[in-house]
Amino acid sequence: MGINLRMAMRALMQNRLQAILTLLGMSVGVAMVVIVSGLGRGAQLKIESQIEAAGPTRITIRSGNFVPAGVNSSGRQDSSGGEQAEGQVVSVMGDGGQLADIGKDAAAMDARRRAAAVRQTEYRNPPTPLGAAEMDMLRHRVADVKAVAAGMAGNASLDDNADIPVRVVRVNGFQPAWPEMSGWKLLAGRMISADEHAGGAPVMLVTRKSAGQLWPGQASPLDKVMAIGGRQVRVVGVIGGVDDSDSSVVPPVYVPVGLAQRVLGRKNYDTITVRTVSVGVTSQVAADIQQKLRDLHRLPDNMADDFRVTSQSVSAMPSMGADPHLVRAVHSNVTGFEQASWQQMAKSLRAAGRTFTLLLAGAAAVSLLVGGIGVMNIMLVSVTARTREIGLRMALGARAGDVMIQFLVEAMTLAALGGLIGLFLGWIGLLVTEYGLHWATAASPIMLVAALVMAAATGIVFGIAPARRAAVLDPVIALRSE
Amino acid sequence: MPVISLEAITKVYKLGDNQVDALRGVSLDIDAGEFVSIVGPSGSGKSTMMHILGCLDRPTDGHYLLNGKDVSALSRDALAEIRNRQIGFVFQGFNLLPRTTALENVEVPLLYSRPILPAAERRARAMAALEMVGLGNRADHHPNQLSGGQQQRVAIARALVNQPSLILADEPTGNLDTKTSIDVMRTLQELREKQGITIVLITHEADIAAYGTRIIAVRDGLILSDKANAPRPALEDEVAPVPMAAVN
Ligand SMILES: Nc1ncnc2c1ncn2[C@@H]1O[C@H](COP(=O)(O)OP(=O)(O)OP(=O)(O)O)[C@@H](O)[C@H]1O
Ligand SMILES: [Mg+2]
Repeated sequence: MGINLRMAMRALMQNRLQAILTLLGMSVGVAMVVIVSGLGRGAQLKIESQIEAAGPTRITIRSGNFVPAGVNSSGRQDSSGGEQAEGQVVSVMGDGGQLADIGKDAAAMDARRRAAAVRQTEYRNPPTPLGAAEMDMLRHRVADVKAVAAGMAGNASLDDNADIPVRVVRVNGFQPAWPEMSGWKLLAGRMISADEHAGGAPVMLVTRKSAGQLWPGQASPLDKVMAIGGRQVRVVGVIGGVDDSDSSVVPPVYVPVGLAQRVLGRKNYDTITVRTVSVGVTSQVAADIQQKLRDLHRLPDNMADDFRVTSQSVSAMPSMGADPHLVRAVHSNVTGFEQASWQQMAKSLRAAGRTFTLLLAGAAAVSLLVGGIGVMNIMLVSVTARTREIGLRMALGARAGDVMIQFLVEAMTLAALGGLIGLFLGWIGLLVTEYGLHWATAASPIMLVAALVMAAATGIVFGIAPARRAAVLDPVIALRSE
Repeated sequence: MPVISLEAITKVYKLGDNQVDALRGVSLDIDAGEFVSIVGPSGSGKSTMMHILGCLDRPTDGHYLLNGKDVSALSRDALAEIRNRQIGFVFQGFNLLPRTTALENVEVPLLYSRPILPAAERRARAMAALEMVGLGNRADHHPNQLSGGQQQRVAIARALVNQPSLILADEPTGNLDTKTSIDVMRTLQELREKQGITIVLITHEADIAAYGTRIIAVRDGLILSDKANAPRPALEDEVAPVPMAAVN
């Protein structure tokens, strides 16, 4: 084998230009395979993450119950209809301990279920605000929760700022887990650090759009300072992937919740968002949260929820890459969105991803085929040009098999070398598509090895015909050839 | 027991409707240690005979016993093995692999011997063969760095490397001038004298044939004459004798 390899390398060296051209053809084929598999896998991973984002792993909790009469998201009958009437505030916040006994809690739930037939005719108004007790409960007493983030938003007037033409901004307070949950992308600068979150530091994030409204004509909003509520708030980052489709002329800014509380002058959160560990458990977790919130808020059986738990977060679904019809269908179907339809959507998304990968793989196969034909061509030429050498080797005792192996190894060496170059080219191609075109890519080592093996196999497949042709030559005729 | 024994060998080439009787019943015994020169005009069947003797081709009819074994009906691979082990070829056109050192050229037959020898042993054997033809100091030269006579002697070393009982040379001096032809013929002669290798030589030229111990004339596929010959002694040559190793 070593001898054959050395012989092959020497033969290729003697035919340098042709070998290089063939290598190029082969390497383009392999590069295609690498790029395509990287893109295909990237697309599939992206689709999986879209399914994950689109699928109900997000549960949003709002204070107050605004659901119109009918079936709410958890399938529970709710006849409250619209915002609830004014009434006595019955706050149970902050006294803790009411859920200390899990066994008691479970028993209470059972009782509640038995009493589900009790008609809920009472309403609490204003509803219990969402605060630290709710956060604590969600963080520590609900199973299968991956992350919890509270948020609040409100418009606030700016102090006098020499360089800012607008008077009012929408202050969005968020917690550290939020950017990842909602799929924010950092476009410039940095995110708000954990320390800044903890201290409610005067830092903020802006979108490209709000930056344009606040500091029109400025190249970068980074390190710009905005005076609000007597504080100098500095821009540390620019984010994208924010759902600002319904944003008005008021530019949004994103700040630590602690800062928002001070600027907006209130403590309560507007929403608490929970991310569950997986799609499958979401409705269970939502039901659990509803029950525990009722217990936390000490709602009697005949009183309707004073909060709303929704487990749809379809709006978070990035439309990039997904079929727009599908996205619209999903968006318009929010209320009736159930596990079954979600699974169906996931299925069709996955199928679309597979089709995409298959198409690309087809293109890769074609270029590999072209590379293979190149190998076959150079090998046929080589066999013809070296007929005399073949005759000589036969005269010196080479069997048909020896000649066959010699040319097969040569074809395989050529293809594998092309494969190595192709791996390198493909790697560069992936880098370009990832950082130049911002396409999702994911190269797996297995695919890289497979590409090399495929290249060598192509060499063998397309090398067989020329090698056979060499092996069956008549030694006398081969020796006589010029 | 003769090294070569041909019994009524015929070879017919079919070219469409035509058929060419290249050999028309050749019977011949060659003993070990003979140096046989085969002469004859062009198209008389010399090369055809050599292809059959060299197990490169099979006779249409008749039997060929090589070292007592009938090889006229063996398979391709079996013939390849016999060529590798028992026969050394020397061609008119040298047939050395280009851009390959003399040593590696000489090594080639060893690559096809089974079981294959270890690399070091192959090198040693190839080196010994090169030294036998006086080219030990040219082992690393490529063919295009060697004269025609040296190239042909490398080819002779290659024919020798597997210690064959028979060397077949088809017009080995056809591409060489008189002086280098003599060098090559001396080399062959010495092989026969020192190692007792049987040599069959095909040539057009009478003075080259004169190096043989036996001269066979062929015409139209038949043996015309078959005579013993007093080989042209080296000392009587027009060129002064030189020790082998010094002739380069
Ligand atoms: N492969 C072949 N097909 C058909 N005819 C052939 C073939 N090989 C040889 N012949 C014919 O057989 C006859 C003998 O040819 P061969 O090559 O043995 O002659 P030769 O004595 O070696 O001649 P030269 O001295 O020119 O080399 C010629 O008539 C030739 O045309
Ligand atoms: Mg001839």
